[in-house]
Amino acid sequence: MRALLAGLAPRRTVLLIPTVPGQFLPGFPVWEWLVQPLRDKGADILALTAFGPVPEPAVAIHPELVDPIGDLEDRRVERETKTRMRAWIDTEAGRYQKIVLLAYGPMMRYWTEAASGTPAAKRTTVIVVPTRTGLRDTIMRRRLQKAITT
Amino acid sequence: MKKETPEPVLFPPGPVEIGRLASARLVGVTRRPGHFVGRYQLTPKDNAEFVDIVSRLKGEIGHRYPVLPGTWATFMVPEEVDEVELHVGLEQDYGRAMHAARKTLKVQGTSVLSELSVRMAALGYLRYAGVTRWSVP
Repeated sequence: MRALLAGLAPRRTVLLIPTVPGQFLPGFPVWEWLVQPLRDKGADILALTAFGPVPEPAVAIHPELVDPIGDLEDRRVERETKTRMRAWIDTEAGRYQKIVLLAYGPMMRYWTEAASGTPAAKRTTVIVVPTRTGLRDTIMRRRLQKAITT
Repeated sequence: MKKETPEPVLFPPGPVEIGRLASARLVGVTRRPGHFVGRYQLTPKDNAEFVDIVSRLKGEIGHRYPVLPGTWATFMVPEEVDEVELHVGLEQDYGRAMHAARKTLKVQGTSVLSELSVRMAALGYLRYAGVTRWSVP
């Protein structure tokens, strides 16, 4: 019963993790190593895709969310990504008191453009990846855990 | 005199290529409580295979599947036309936010919902319904 009620209660923190097609996606070893310990910490975990933030399982079901390019021009995907990120910020970000963003990969430039000047940007804690050690560093786990629990 | 940019429409008129299954052309937009629905007529690329795929969708016809945030898709058979149509729904709040986002970010385009979104919503629905063979762009 407690678990059910916890599931119904609005969550106050969201962790946004940018995806990198073919390298860093839900189910990939590095992603799982980093995110698995954070899944029971009471925060929503969303994957930042070309169609904006989506729940992690959606990426496994629909890989096109991450790499929709196919026969399309990159510019069309860029426009879509920016617009949907901004739409998410304007409609959904207000539900969260705190937004934690892992600053990693090429998706960041779209996020930066989309979030610029919004109230959500002020509530965002950006976790920077150490250039020397990369994502697979225990310090990354600790930083993320600290950011979503405090 | 500066030429004014026309306001974008909600749904792209098409044709939108739905993988290798069909191409979709907008035939109407209806307003429902809380969302808008774009109705797309499907032109099969191969009639026999299209019929085969649609017959496999039977149980899922009419089931709205939210593939993308604020957007859902389903295949429907409206009584008045008696043929399969693709219906794409856009939540009103989300549509408003997308429109505002496009203006703020100065994103070009003629429709609020992009062709890419319509295609993705349709392919996502097909994949959800168990049709993966046709989901490949």
